[in-house]
Amino acid sequence: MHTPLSRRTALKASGITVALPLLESMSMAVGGTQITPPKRMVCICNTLGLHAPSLFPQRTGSDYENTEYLDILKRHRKEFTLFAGLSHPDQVGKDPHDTEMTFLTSARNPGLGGFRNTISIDQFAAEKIGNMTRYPSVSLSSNRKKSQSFTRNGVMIPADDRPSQVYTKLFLRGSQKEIRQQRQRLADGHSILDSVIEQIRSIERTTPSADKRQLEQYFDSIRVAETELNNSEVWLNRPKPNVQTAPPENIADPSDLVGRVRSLLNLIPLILQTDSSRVISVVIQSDHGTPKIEGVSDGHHPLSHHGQDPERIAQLKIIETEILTCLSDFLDGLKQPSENGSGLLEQTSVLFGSNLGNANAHDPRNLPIILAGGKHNHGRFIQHNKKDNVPLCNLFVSLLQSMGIESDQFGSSTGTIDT
Amino acid sequence: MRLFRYLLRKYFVAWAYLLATNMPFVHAENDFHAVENLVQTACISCHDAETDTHLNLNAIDKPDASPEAFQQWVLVFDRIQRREMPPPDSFVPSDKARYTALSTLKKELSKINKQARKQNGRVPSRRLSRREYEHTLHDLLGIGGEIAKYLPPEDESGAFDVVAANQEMSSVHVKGFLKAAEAALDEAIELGPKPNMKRELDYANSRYMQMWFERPVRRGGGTVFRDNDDLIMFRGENHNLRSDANGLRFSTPGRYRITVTGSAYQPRSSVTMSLKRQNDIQGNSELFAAWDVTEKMRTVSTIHYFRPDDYFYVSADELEPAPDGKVIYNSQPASEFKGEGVRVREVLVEGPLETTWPPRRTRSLFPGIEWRPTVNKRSYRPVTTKSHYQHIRDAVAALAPRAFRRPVTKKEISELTNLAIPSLEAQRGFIASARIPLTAILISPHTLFLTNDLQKNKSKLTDHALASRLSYFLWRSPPDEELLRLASEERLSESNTLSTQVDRLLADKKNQLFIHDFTDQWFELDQIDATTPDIKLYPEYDDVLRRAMLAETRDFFSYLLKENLPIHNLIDSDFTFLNRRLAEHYDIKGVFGETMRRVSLDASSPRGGILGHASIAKVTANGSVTTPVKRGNFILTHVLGLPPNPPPPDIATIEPDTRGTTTIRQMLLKHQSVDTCARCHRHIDPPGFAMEGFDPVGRYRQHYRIGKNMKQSLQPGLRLKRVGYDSGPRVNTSGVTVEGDVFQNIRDYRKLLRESTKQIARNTLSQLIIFATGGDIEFSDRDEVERILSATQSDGYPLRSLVHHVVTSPLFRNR
Repeated sequence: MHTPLSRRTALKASGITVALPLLESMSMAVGGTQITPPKRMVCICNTLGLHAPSLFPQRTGSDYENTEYLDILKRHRKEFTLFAGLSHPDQVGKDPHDTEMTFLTSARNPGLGGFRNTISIDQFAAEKIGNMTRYPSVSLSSNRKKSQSFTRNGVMIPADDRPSQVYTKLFLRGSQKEIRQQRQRLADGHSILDSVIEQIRSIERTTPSADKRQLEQYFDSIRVAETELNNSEVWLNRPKPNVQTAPPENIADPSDLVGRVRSLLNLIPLILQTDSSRVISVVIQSDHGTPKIEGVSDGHHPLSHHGQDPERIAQLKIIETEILTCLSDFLDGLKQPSENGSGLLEQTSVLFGSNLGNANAHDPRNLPIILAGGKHNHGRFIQHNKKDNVPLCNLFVSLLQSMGIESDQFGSSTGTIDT
Repeated sequence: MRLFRYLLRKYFVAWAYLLATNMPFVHAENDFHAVENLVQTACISCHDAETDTHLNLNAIDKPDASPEAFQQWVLVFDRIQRREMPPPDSFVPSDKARYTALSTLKKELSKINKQARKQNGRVPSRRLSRREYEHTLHDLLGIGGEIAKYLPPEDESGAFDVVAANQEMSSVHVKGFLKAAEAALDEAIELGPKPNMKRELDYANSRYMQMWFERPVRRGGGTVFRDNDDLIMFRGENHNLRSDANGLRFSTPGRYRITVTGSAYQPRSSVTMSLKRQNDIQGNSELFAAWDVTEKMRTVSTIHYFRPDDYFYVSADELEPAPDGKVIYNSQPASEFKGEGVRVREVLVEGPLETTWPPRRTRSLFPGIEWRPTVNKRSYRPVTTKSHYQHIRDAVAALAPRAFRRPVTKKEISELTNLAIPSLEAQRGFIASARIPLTAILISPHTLFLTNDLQKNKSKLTDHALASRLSYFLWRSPPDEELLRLASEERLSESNTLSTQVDRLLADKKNQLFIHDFTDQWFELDQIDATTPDIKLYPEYDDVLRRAMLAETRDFFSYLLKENLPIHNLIDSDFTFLNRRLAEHYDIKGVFGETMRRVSLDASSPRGGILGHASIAKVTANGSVTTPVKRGNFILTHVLGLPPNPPPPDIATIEPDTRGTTTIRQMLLKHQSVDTCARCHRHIDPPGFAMEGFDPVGRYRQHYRIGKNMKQSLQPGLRLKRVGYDSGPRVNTSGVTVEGDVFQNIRDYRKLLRESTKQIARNTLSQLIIFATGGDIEFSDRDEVERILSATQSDGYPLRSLVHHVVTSPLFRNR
């Protein structure tokens, strides 16, 4: 299927032309043999929800009618599925926006005393397939360093919020001297970490057992870090992919919400196509002040608490329309060919949603969830029980399985979901 | 009593049934009966399996079964003790039954708590938080660069970053520590050429500025102009006034003194001349100095840390537009503009402020090494007098004891130094080789962890562990020479010495790190930028004001500590700290200049105590709006230390609906009409109502500002002429506390809050203990907390005394 791109979309996407073929770096990733195209995952969270009446249609199944918001995505109709009635259970937390921490993890009661986050779905996937690429995962944020990616022991992986830095990290080759120095640094790092391990052992001999939790964690963490350093050493010997694109400009103004989101999303096809990483998470933050959009005169967050005031809802919808347009253009960007000639989108499951089902009431239930790409059975609107939601993690499990990652359980899942 | 017996009989059937079904809280020991009796008579009718609350007493384990069960019983204890439960409209147990049950439960809980501690101590080892790690590397290496940014953010579920139970460790941390240590050493080892230590940033004559002077208005120039040798500006923009483009770059990281001579240009009211730093690569910027200027020429200076990719620029704030309404851009050149501006005569930059070159930090890292310039004079090289190995050994022997905060054995020194051998053998050079053991020291577990070592056969900390705990409490940094010496002489643990040291640490300027980190976390001041108010609704909110807001709370807290003032001042004081800018914001007359100083307040002022601080109003606002719920929660949680319960599970949140209602007040009335919500919100909302008089940026308001029909209107002669808002509905600050006391405004409420002075003291003390020890207040710590409260009660629980009591308490001195 070929969808002609609008001029606007083509311009927006023009920042991401890539030198083809990329087969060389691709095949190296799997030890020299070309295999079936890899599976990839992109998780995008719009932290302030989507105005539900403008999103969800009345009719379910493949016959659903286009709503205001679905109209924006209509050219992708056959490539996505909309879900209703999904959520994570027990999301009442310390602060009503704390569910931002758990959107990809499903840990219960975020921020309450004794809360400890759990692994996020992107990191779970990265643990399994991350070693095949230069970067096991990439975490992006539209503002500040807060990501939704959490390690197995609940530590947040700081997000990149500057497209130019992501670009440098992923695509810019250092000089021979820099690479040599980097290699030396990795080697030094190894001997330093070995010595630290020795020191921990000597402390542990004199420390009472209950006091050791953190020391033991440090010990284990060093072991993991060493493996990761080994991995980067392997990648250091391979050239970075050759991209024919000028580095993106950073948008310094935090209130240019749409510009920032767009510049981050523009990087993703480039990251996937060069197989620099197969797992990406993006969080669209709420704290941008008043977004610079025609017709919007208040902040995104205050507008999300619209109190049913039609004037405020109208403004909120302007912002959300822009964000969904970014999504739609992003999906266009993924329709360009990948290494085996098929579209990137077919290999990439894109999860777009929010941690809030109704931001006006901070309600973390009935989340808006869109699953696009990844060869799922798309073109449908699937409505689950509004009163008694199905765990969103059931969808996560299905998603992982579709990527060839063996797992019957993730977070609060109770099964799988028909996708 | 008869009623009690009747109820006992009434519940006997249920009781027998529960026995038969093997109730988990049926205790082997008889003395737990009193508790069970109370539960059965007074609690179970609501808190059974059918409950819509968090607590199902049918499913709760014995307190010694698990930490979770223990916590639940502590909660039960607290709610009954505070007489919050059972609720007044249900069955209320007799005082005797209540008393017996409570004392039994208390004994049981204390016993379990103490038992668990016997083995493990009160707090386990903890690592330095990311802030502490930054302070530590600054202190050890004499550097000033940002270090925390290399480490992942701390878990936010606890109050403080030091709480061991909430701290995490991962490979992200390990790689972060490595990167941080490397960056720190990069800065510490400065071998570049000696920079020119005194330079001028000559705007009027810089080639770059000529372009802006000459460029026509329609091409973006002409916003500044030159008057003799002075620069006149009206906005202070980063693109033209940036130091790097005007020929001044910072060659090396360090502290620089910037001296500016300038004045206000055609002022009609107060004008601020400021200095701003920006870094486009790191993506951050800050206002780091601000001065009030008048038409009279003024010379001012400040010292600030810069890194080579930073630039700074002279800027201007609080400028009023022209009275004739004309602007620069389209109608006239800058020289004819009638608005307020700043005249800049001279900008001198001295630094890096070093007395030697290479700088002292580099020299002290490598004791015994001489440094000579290389032939091309582009850098310095070490002149060695013994083997490289020996020199590296000297460096290790100098750094390790300071980093590990204790004497280091010869064996440890050798093992660390040996890390350099492969590199020395590969001829990688002295510095590159030395960096390996030095990095190893900086990420060593001895550096990263506070391990709470114990004296032989005792539960007391060793003097060295005590020195670390003390200096990380009051300095957030490693102990200095004097503390380490006292520890080595085993004198630090003597009560007199300890007390003297507390005073010394509090008097040192490093104590500001404690003031910052403690208030940032306790009062959430670090959240001040979490939301931004709409610039049209709140045009007065800018960096100059933001800076003064933070300074008010920090200076205020610092003053309470320094002067040992009674704790009620925290919520009700007759003074605060202001400069001219903040005083204008508060409508207080007679405060001049940019320096913060103590200002006495009228009895009629809404200010006094932190609830009247603009910083607190700001961190408890949501962008452009305020909500009594958030503010009430702030007071209950942070001031009183009695956080409200989260909403019960599966209770639908009430959807705000502002159609037909105009104020948040009316919105919350609907909120209160639902019984399940009202149960907690009658505690939460009233304090928030009292604070509703403060707008999101802390101004005292009579009316809400509304942004509808927004007009940009100019009203000459008044501050903030560009008004982008209308006056909305009147603010209602009255309410009724949960105890039934009526208040009209924040002044009344403060007086009512003073009745809770003891609870505020209890909370302050608890926060200090948690921050000092890295362990939450546990059940068996409560007696000690109460003891300290009794000891300080007659003086009104003064803050400095509380700190002294914390340090001399066994909670601090034992593991």
